[in-house]
Amino acid sequence: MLEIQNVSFSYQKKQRVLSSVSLKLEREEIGVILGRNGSGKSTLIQCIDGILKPEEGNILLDGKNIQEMKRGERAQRIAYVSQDSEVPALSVYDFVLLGRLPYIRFSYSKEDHERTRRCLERLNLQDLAMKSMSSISGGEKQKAHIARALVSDAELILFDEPTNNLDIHNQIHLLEWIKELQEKDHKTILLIMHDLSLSLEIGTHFYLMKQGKLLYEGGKEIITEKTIEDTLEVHSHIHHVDGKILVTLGGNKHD
Amino acid sequence: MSMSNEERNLQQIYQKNQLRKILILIVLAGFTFVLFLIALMVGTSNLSFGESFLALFGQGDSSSVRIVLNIRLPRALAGLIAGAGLSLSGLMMQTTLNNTMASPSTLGVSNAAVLGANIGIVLLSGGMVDTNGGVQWSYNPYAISVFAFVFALGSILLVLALSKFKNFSPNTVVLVGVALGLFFTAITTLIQYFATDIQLSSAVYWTFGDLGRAGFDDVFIMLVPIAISFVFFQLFSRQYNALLLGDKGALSLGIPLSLFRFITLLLSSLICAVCISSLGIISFIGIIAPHIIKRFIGNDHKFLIPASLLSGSVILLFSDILARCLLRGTSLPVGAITAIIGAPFFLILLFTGKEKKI
Repeated sequence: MLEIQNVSFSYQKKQRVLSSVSLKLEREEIGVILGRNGSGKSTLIQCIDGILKPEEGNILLDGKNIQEMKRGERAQRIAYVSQDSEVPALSVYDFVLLGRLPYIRFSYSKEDHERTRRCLERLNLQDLAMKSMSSISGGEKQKAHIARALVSDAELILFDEPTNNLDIHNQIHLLEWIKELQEKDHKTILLIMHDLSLSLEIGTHFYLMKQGKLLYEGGKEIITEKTIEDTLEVHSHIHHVDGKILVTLGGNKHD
Repeated sequence: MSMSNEERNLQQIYQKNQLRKILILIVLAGFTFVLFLIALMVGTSNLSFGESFLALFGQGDSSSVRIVLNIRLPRALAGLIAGAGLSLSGLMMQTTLNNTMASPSTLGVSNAAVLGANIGIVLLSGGMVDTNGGVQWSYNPYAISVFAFVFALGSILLVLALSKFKNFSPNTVVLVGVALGLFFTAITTLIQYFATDIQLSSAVYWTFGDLGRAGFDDVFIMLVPIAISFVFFQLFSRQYNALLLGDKGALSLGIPLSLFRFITLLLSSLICAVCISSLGIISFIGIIAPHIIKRFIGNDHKFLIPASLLSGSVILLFSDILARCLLRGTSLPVGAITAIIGAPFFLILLFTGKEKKI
């Protein structure tokens, strides 16, 4: 589905934020990128979405280079929920409707509105539809973001730290929604997360990054005390409880 | 596929919301029309409402017909069109730069126009006449307008060319605009320092925005770019909504952001340039009109664009009516009136604002 070949990127010359990153994500998987701040996770995601242009390397979606796709096609196939997304003073309805923008030239069709209504209803946002995005709670905002990604019909959805600023209740709910996107809507998902236990709960494929390089890639089995120490630079203990993997953290590597 | 009850309900709520916004537009259009008629009826000459109304249809004595059709009509049309244009250009600058304070003055366009006019007055105006009890008028107003226009347009091209190096990042555009604006003002100060008294008063007088300056030709010159820009902005109103998501959000939705920003800023500045060069500086409408109307109609550009257009006309026509009625026998510069009534009204809205309507 998604294949990244030797992608490099730098914001300023001589300062590589990504150096020769290669990875694969299969259809209907939930990929989780883990790494410290500044390890290049967000940059990588923005390259995949076409917001940033890699200096070297290719990003292929079903074998097709995204740089060669038209903007509209790329926007139709990949949706992006950013970490610092500005909250526009639009109504929740108009915000979600924007997900249909890549399909239109000048005005929305009846079908665009129908899809919007269906998504709002599915995410239980119908009562907030005419409220301003800036007046709803953090959890509701994330739901509106999911609705926008869903309405766009994109096959690949990128999330940049979606659980940021959410309370634990909302974090769990959000992850359930994301899981539903994968299971029910057959979406492929790539997430940036910080919480290891939640990542293990939701993810099916993992990428551990450090200083612009991808150090480890694979299933749950790659999350070990050693790989965590190598990339996140903390000591950890991995516990298996009732078939779940829990990670407890203790102390910096250098302590 | 049949709709569920909730979906149907949502559709009704949405349609009701759209209807409310259409109603606001109709009310605004009505307001604009009434103010336009009033602008034709009032003035410093002592025509009664009845006489003015008849004169509008060519009835009554020839002097009142001349006053209404040749003096008041172009003035009212100028108010209608320039108000709409200045408000529209302010709104679009704010949207594309994601900066609520963006306006012709923050981008240096006004300052450049003033500099151009000053050069026109000081270097090109051969003769001066003394009319209207001491007010100095240039003999060569055409040259002044052309210079103001060329400088205003040149300045925005310079701002855009410099901002290109930073991919039109909104902050860069605003900072480059502010820096160039200060530079133009400094040159203007130097020119004025070496100007004669008559040139100086003429230059200062030019900066007072005044609708009375406009003839039918000015009205037409303003109308063309405003109409073209309005059609463009309205066609892409859904894309402008996406710009509210910020740069990343807009790019992610497939908007060619740099190109969009370039065209929008160029059209908005063109509007400012024609309005300022025809009428002088009428500040503040570009900031207050869009902000006021957003409180009533929300940020959906499908409605916000026409609403800003109309609210700009309402504010400028109303200000000009006041400018002509406040002191008997003379009319005040409308540029000052817009700010004097606009600023307090704006502050009241800002501090008493309820939750924004969407």
